[in-house]
Amino acid sequence: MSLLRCEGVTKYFGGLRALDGVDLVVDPGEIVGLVGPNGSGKTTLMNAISGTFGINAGRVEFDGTDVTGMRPHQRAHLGIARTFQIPKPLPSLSVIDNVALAYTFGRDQVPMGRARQLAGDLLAELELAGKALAPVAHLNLHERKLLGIARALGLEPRLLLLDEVLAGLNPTEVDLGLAMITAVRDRGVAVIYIEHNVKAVTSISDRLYVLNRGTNLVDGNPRDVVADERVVAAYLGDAHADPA
Amino acid sequence: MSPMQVAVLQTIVSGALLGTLFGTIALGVTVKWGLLGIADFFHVSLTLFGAYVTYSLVSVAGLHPLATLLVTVPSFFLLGMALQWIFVRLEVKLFTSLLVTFGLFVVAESVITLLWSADTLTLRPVLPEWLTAPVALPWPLQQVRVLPPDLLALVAAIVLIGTTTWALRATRLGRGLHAMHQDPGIAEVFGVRLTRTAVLVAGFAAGTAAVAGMVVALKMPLSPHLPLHWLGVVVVSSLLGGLGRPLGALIAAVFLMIVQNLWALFYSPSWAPVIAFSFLLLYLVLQPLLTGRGLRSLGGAA
Ligand SMILES: Nc1ncnc2c1ncn2[C@@H]1O[C@H](COP(=O)(O)OP(=O)(O)O)[C@@H](O)[C@H]1O
Ligand SMILES: [Mg+2]
Repeated sequence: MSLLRCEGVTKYFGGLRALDGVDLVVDPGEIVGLVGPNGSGKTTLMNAISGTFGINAGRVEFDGTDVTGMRPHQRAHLGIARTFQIPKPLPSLSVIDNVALAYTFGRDQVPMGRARQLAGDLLAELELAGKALAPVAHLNLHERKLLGIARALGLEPRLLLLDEVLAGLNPTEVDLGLAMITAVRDRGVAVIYIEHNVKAVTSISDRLYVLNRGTNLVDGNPRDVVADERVVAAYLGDAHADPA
Repeated sequence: MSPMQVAVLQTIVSGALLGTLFGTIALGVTVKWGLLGIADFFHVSLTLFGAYVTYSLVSVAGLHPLATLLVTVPSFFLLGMALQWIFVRLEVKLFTSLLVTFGLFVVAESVITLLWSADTLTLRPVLPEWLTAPVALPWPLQQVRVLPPDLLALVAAIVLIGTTTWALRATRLGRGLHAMHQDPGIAEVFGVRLTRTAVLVAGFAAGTAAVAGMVVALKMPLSPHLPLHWLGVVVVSSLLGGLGRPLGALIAAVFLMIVQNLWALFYSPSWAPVIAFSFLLLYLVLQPLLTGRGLRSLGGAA
């Protein structure tokens, strides 16, 4: 059975149709790449899955449960975790306490002392241990993105939604990031990986979806998808895109 | 000690102890204002309501004053939760909360008058001697006398403000509340139940009003317009102490009441109530200069 099933997901912002009947399926333990030109609705789809806002039509099913009407905390408790395109750590908490928050309020509701230990272990794995006690204001972009991932993993999710976590990083950092996402998948966590950099996402995705203007354009095997002429055309129409 | 020195010491001690009572009342106000974004003037009325309920439970039902807490705290907890639940449903924001709770504040005076009459009521005649007889402080302050309800106010303040300060730092509820205050959207994505958190915190705040109400009933004669006299000190202490910081509110309340009592000792008592607001004005003028944050900080502490 698939882990996540989105059917006909539709979302309007006023008169703007950000998503128009999008379908998407994720199986347990796979990396699904989600690409598309700027403004094609990728982040909006992520918000619809994590429950940040309600949708106008369609349905979202997680592990056989209809979650369409559920609040974000309920979805978090079922095992849906996400990062934010612009990292949003809580400024008054240290790095480790930001991660511990997720353990404390996540799926297993870990007691606070234990949550801090687990958070420390996770930060060590991500090579952020040196900054564990620092205020989040002391982190650079790369570290803030890592913290965003650590915090999402702190929920001990079954599905991890990553929104352009590698954008703005240098090539070495991107390679490390890709290895890390693969490692997360190998632990059995399914990943939806939104990325503007098509090459990066193609290299690690098991399957690839392309959105264009809020609708499904193409999906399937990453190599076939990037070679599809509709995809090439969509990206050529987008001045900001970097299909290489 | 000279009689004047004793009078000054006595004034300072009484002022400080009265300050602990206002600090306890301010506890609920500062936590709700600073961390839930609800400026709750009604909390002050709720305190007096607690005092009247204590009065009836002791004088009519014959309960031991401390035993009344077993009745008042849980019922106020439920009342506070119910009110906050309605606020959450109606998506009440800071400014609306100010208007709504001020309305409730006005209505509460009428309701209390209706239920208990406008006459002054006092528990003093029915209280046991250990709650009414003045006690001398230990050496070297043996010439200073305090009343047992004032000591009760001190104990209540230490216990409640201590517990709250600890809970805000070290419990799940406190951590969730801070997260929700900073970014509700993020908090919710990481599993914090927003409604539950807000409702529990408001219930706790109302519970503290019940405790403060009991101290009020033991300490002073009750009349329906008391909240009007308290509101200034409570709100100013909450602001001066830094919204969302109960310990700050306590320190501010103690300080304000000492200054106010000393003023009344040396100058005209009728001007004493102006003290609190003078400090607030001073603070409002100086604070933007000192911190560069401006009046935005009235929206709540970080
Ligand atoms: N909260 C919002 N309010 C109004 N419009 C929005 C909002 N979020 C996204 N949009 C619009 O929806 C469209 C899709 O945006 P988004 O999902 O962020 O695209 P992507 O992540 O693929 O770049 C864009 O036109 C964007 O301007
Ligand atoms: Mg986006």
